[in-house]
Amino acid sequence: MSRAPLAGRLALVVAGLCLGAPAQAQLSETQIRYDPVVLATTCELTPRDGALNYDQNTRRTISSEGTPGAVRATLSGLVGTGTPSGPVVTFENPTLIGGSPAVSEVRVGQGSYSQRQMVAFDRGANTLDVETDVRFQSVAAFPDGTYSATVDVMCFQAGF
Amino acid sequence: MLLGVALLPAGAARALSMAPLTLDTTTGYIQTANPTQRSLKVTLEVRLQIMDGDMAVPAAKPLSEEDFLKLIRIRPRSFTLAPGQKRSLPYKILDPEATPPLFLCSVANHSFYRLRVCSRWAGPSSAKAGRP
Repeated sequence: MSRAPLAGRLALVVAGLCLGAPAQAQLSETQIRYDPVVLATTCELTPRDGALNYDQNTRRTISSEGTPGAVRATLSGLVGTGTPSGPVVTFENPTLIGGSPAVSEVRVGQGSYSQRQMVAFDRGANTLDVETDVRFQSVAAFPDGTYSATVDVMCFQAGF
Repeated sequence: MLLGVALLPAGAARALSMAPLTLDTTTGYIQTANPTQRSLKVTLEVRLQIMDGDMAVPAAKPLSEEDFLKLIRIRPRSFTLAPGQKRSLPYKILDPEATPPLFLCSVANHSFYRLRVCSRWAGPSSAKAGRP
């Protein structure tokens, strides 16, 4: 047997050991994942309940006047300090639970009643505090019973 | 007392937040959050855009579940947020070229209010490719 073939075989053995090393290590890899974050304007609605009262003379009106509900709408994540033009808050669908009024209305602040109200953020403001009343009117006196109410509040970016 | 009018529970601290307010990409995430100390059940709904004067606003009624599923893929469509929890949900506008302007809304019920925060999809002309 010549020296050259022996050296060749040794080289093959060494090479084999080297090539086999990574496979024997069985590297274990894992990742930590993080929930994504959305970088964008956020609207947060925080309500405060009101209470209902009724006209004790006619019993034809149930309203929250004197004990209004309220909502704080907050925009955050705005880029820069510009005016948050576009986002608005609407109040609609006043609903009396327990009765069937002829007229169901909502108002913001001391404004007039209507079926739907819309409030825009003041120029440069990121917070909107709105008191809101509901009013339900019936042609005849409301019958004895227990009544409660809801109103829908929606924050969205209006299109123009 | 002849007529009883219920005093509604006061101070039941609930709140709902959602971002973004506009869906600028065909795929992406919306994020809803419950910043309060009480759990909050949230449902998603889609409303088509209508014009109120010169302003684009959500329609009065949401689409049916069936029509919702034809337009946007997002799961789950109903879930509960623990106190302080945020949740990001991937969405996909299934057929951007054919999807009309609409609003994807998070809805949470409160004793006196139904809270709704909506993201506006302005239609295919405003769409960019996204990557959830």
